[in-house]
Amino acid sequence: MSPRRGGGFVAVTGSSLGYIAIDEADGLFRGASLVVDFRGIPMDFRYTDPVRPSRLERILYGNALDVYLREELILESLIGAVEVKPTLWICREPDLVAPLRSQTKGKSLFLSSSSRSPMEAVGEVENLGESGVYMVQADSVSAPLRVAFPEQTREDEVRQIAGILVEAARTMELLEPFGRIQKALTSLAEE
Amino acid sequence: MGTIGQDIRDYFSRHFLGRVRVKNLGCVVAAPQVFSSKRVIATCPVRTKMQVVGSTLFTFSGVACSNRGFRFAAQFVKARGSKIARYAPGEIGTHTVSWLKTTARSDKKRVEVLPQERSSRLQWQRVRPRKEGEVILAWFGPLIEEAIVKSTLNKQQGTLLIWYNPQSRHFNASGLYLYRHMGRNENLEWRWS
Repeated sequence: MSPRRGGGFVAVTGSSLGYIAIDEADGLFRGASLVVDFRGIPMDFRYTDPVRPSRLERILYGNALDVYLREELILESLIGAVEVKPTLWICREPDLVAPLRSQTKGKSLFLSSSSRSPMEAVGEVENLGESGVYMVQADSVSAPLRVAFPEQTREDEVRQIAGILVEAARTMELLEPFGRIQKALTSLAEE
Repeated sequence: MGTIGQDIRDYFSRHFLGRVRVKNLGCVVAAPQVFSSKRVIATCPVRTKMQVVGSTLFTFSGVACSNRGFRFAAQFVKARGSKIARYAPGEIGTHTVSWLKTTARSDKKRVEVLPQERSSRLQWQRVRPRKEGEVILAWFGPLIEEAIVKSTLNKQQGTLLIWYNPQSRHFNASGLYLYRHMGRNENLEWRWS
């Protein structure tokens, strides 16, 4: 079922968005995932214990440390722990899109705001020329969103995912959950 | 001498016996040495030998090491200008590097108490319904009016903080206008769209 605009209320079952954020501050890595329904109401929240690699570990892992911590250790822990599997996985770091797809075996994308003027119609999708990068007009009351998909994503899949974003944007702000994840991580760090 | 004697013998033999010495020159010619024009290509690798050493990103456990000292008799070793002392290293300390690991924890309540934050999207609104003597200050949306438990205007940020009832089944989205009435009081008014 899908939400209707302008009349009654319809429960949306099984439609949810999963947000992933992995932060590094002062050598401390931590990540969190938030699954929300199409109104932004939380359905599942997971966070990882902070990881602070020692000097020796930094030497041993070298340049691979950052990738290993983000893409394998933290992302894998979060994805493995989440009990509510969302319709879409959304991340705010472009580098996480591909590992997110491979680990979730589902739809994943990178989402960010843009300063472009709105496109003609809601649901319009424009290829930016870069591989897998599009502008999507998710609603009529905001600038189009910059969306990056994993490279192997097909055009029809892009259209399908854009449709899901449009549907969710009717009842929520698509980028807002990242703000709550950040607040939750800040409160955890202060404990 | 041998050659002169031979010559004398040949002389007398020819004059007195009428014999002439016959020499055999032979016609054996040594077989010519044959060289093959075929070239043999020798391949000599100039690159250094590649050696792949297995490595792992994971941490390792140390190997227990100990020594009994390196013993020798000082009097057997002589060095110019200094006395040789015995070097006896102590025990080598080994430490185990722990695995990099993390655990994912669940804490849904932590985010349930956090409000959703909406910025004003008035600049994108094409329709701006207003009466005479009032000014639209902001438009917040999309919001599920029936699901809202509490809302607060963050005057510093100009954002609206909303708390939804997680048990709500409402999905009907709408927007919320903030008006300022011009006049003596200049009071604010919220109005759903």
